[in-house]
Amino acid sequence: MEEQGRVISIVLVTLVISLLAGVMIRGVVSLPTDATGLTQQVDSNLERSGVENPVTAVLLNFRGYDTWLELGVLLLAVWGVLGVHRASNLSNVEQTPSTNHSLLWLVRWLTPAMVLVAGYLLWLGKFAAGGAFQSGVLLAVVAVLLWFAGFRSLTGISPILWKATLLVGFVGFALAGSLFMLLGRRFLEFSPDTAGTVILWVEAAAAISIGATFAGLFFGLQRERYTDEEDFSP
Amino acid sequence: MSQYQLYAVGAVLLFCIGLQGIIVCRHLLKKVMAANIMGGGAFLFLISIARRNTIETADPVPHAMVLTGIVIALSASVLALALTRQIHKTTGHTTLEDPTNNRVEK
Amino acid sequence: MIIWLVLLPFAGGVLAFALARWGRVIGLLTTAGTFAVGLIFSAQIWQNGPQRYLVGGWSVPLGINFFADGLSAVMLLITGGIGTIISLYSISYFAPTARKGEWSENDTFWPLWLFLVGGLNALFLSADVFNVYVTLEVVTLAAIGLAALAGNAAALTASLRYLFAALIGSMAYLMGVALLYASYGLLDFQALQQVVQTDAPTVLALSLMTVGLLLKTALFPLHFWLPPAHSTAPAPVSAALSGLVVKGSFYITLRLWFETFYGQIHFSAGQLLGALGTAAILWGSFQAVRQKRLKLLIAYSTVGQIGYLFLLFPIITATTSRDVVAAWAWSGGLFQAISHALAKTSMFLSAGVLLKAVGTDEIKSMRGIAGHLPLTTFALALAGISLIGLPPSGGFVAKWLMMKAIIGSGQWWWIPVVTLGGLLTAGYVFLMLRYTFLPQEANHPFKPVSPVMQGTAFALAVGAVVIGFRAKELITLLNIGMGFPEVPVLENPGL
Repeated sequence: MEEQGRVISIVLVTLVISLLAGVMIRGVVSLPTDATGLTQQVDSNLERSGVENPVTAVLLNFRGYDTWLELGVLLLAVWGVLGVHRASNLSNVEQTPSTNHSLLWLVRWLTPAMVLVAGYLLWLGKFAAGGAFQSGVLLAVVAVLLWFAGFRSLTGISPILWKATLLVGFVGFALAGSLFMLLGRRFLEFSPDTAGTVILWVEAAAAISIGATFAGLFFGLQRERYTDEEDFSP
Repeated sequence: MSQYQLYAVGAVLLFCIGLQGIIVCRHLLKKVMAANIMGGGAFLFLISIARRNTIETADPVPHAMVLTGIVIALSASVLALALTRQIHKTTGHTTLEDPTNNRVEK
Repeated sequence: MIIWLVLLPFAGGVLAFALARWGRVIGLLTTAGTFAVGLIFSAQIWQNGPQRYLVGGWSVPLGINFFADGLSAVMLLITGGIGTIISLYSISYFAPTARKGEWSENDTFWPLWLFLVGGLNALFLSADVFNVYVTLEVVTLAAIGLAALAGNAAALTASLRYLFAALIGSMAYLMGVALLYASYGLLDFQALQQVVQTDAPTVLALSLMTVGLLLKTALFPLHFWLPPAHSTAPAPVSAALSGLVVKGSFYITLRLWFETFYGQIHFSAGQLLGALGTAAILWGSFQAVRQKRLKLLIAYSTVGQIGYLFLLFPIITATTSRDVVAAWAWSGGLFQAISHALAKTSMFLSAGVLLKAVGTDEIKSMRGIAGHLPLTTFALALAGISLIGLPPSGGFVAKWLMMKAIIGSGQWWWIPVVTLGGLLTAGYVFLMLRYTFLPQEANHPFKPVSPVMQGTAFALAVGAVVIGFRAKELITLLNIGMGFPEVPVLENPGL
C-alpha cells in the first residue's frame, strides 16, 4: 500500500518536473544570442583593476565584495560542521601512522612540488586561469595526503595557529578593503596603482584559508571513522 | 541548434534531474548528490550564457559568478554530509524519517 | 556609516570565534553596536532620503552597490533591535563552559549568530540580484548551523530537511539571476527596472526567483520544512529563525515585485500569491490549534502569520500607479512583518523560559505558571494580543490597514480571510493560555529561571503592542523612497 503511494507520487513529481523542464527549455532557447553581457565594460576597466585576467579582475576587484562574503560562507561551513560534531577544534581526530612505504615515499616527493605549484597557480591568476581558489584546493590536497600518510602533527597544531589560518583570508580581505577607507576611499576600493599588489596579497591569504578550510572540513568529517563493516545503507 | 542552445538545454536537464533526485530519492547521500547535480545545472547554464556566439570572447562575469557559486554549493554540501553522518550515528537511519517518530523513541 | 552595518557583525563573528571564551561579551556588544549604527543610519535616511553606496568604488553595471531606503532602514532596525535582545537572552540561556578547552554551545552559537545578523544586514542593503544570492546563502548556512545546535535526532533531521529545501530555493533563484543577466547584462534591481520586458525568459526568471524565495520564506505549500526546524532549535535560535530569517527572503520578493517588476506583473500572479497566503493562514492556524507542544504551536503560528504578508501582493499588483490603496496595502503588510517579528520572537523566548522552568514545552505543563512566572504569562498574553490583532497592538494596525486596502481595492474576497484568520489565531492563543491559571499539579516542581530571560521576552511583547502607538512615524519611514502617497488616516490608530 505504502509502496503504491510512493510510485504514484514519483510519477506525479516526474510529470511536474518534465513540465518545468519544458517551460525552462523554451525560456533558455529564446534568449538573445547576440548579447555580450559586461565583456566590454570589463575590458575597458581592466587596466584600472591591477590584474590582466578578466575573471580575476571581476572576482577580486569589480565584484570583490561577493568573493569576500564567499570566504565568510566557507567559515560558516567549518563552524557548522564543528557545531554538528560538538567540537571546538580539530584535536582528537583519530589517525594511525601509515606503514605503506610507497605512499610515504610519494608524499615526501610530492609535497614540496605541490606547494610550489600552488604558489605558481596563485601568481598565475593575475594573467590567466588560476588564483586563490585553485591554489587553496591544492594546499588542501597536500594536507589530506600528509594526513593519509600518517603525519599526526597536522591535526595536533595549536588551536591558535589553526584559527589564524582559517581566518586570515576573510579578515585579510576585509582589512585590505578597510585600509583604503582610511584614505578616503570606499570599502574594497583599491587604488589602480596598488591594486595588483593588494590583490596578490589578498589572494595569498585567501589561498591559505581555503586550503585550511577544505583540509579542516575533511578532518572534521573524519572525526569518528567508519569501519568497513559498518552499514551505511538505508 | 547552436552550441549555446545545446549547452543551455543540457544545463536545464541537469537542473531538473537534480531537482527530481532531491525530492524522490530517500537515501541522504543520494539527496546530497542530487543537490550537486542541480547546482551543476545552474553553473553550466551560467557558463553557457557567457559565450553565446563564436566570435566574441567569453564574458568574465558569469565565470566569476560560477566560481563564487561553486564555493557556496560546496560549503552547503559539506554541512549536509556532516548532518547526514550525525543523523546516521544518532538514529541509525540514512533517510529523513518523520521527526515525530524520532521523538517517540526516547 | 552604511558599511559598518555589515562590517561590524562580521568582525564580531570572527572575534567570537577567535576568542571563544569572550563570545558572550563580544556577541552582546556587537549586536548592540550594530543596532546603534542602525539607529543613526535610519535617522540619516529619515532626513536625507535613500542612499546608494558603491562597494569597491565601481558603479553599476560593473560593481556591486548598496541601496538603502526606508524599507531597508526599518528591516535593519528590526534586526538590530531584536538581535540585541536575543543576544541578551542567549547569555543567560546558554550555560558557560564548564572546563577550559571543552566544547559548549556558546562556541558554536556566537560566531554563527553574529554572521547571521551580518548576513541579514548585507541582504537588506544589497542592490544587486547576484549579491543577494550570496547574502541569502550566508543567512541560510548560519541559520542551519544554529538550528542543528540542539544536537538530537529530531533537530539534526529538521536541519537537514531545511538545508535541502533552502538549496532548492537558492538554485532556483540563481537560475533566475542567470536568466536576467543573460537577457539584460545587468544585476542591479533599479537598473533592471528601466529595461525589463515581459518576454519568455524574463517571465521564467521572475517565476524561478519567486518560487525559490517563497520556499525560503515558507509560504504554504512550501512550508513543510519550517515547523520541525523552528520547533527543535534552542529557543533564541527559534526566535531568530521565525522572527528575522524568513523576513529576509520576503524582503527580496518585495523588491523584485514592487520595484524591479512593478507594473509588469499580471493580475492573476498576484491573486495566486494571495490565494497561497490564504491557504497558509487557514492551514497554519488550524495546525497550531491542534498542537500539544508550545514550540510547535508557535512554529505553525508562523506558517499562518506568513500568509498575512502575502495579502499585500494581490492588491498592489492590481494597482497601476502608487496610489493610496497600494500605500495602505504596503504599510499594512510591512506592519504585519514588524509586529509579527516582535510578537513571535517574544513567544519563542517565553517558550524557552518555560522549558527551563518545567523541563518540557508541553502545553499541559503550563499549569500554574501564572503564579510562578507572571512576567512570562503576561508576555505570552501580550504577544498573543498582537498576533490576534486586538487594539491597540501593532497587529491591530497591520490588519486595520490591510482591511482598508482590501476594501479600497474592491477585492472583497480577502475580507473573510482576515476575519477567519483572526478568529483561528484567537483560538490557539486561548488554547495556549488556558492552562496558565489552572492550579498546579502537586508533584511538578518549578526550577528558577533567570529574570533577564523573562524580562527580555516581556520587553519584546511590550514592543509588539506599543509600536501601534508609533504607527505614523514607522509608516512614514517605510514609504521613504518607495513613492507611495502619505497614508493620511493614521493620527491615532491605537486609541
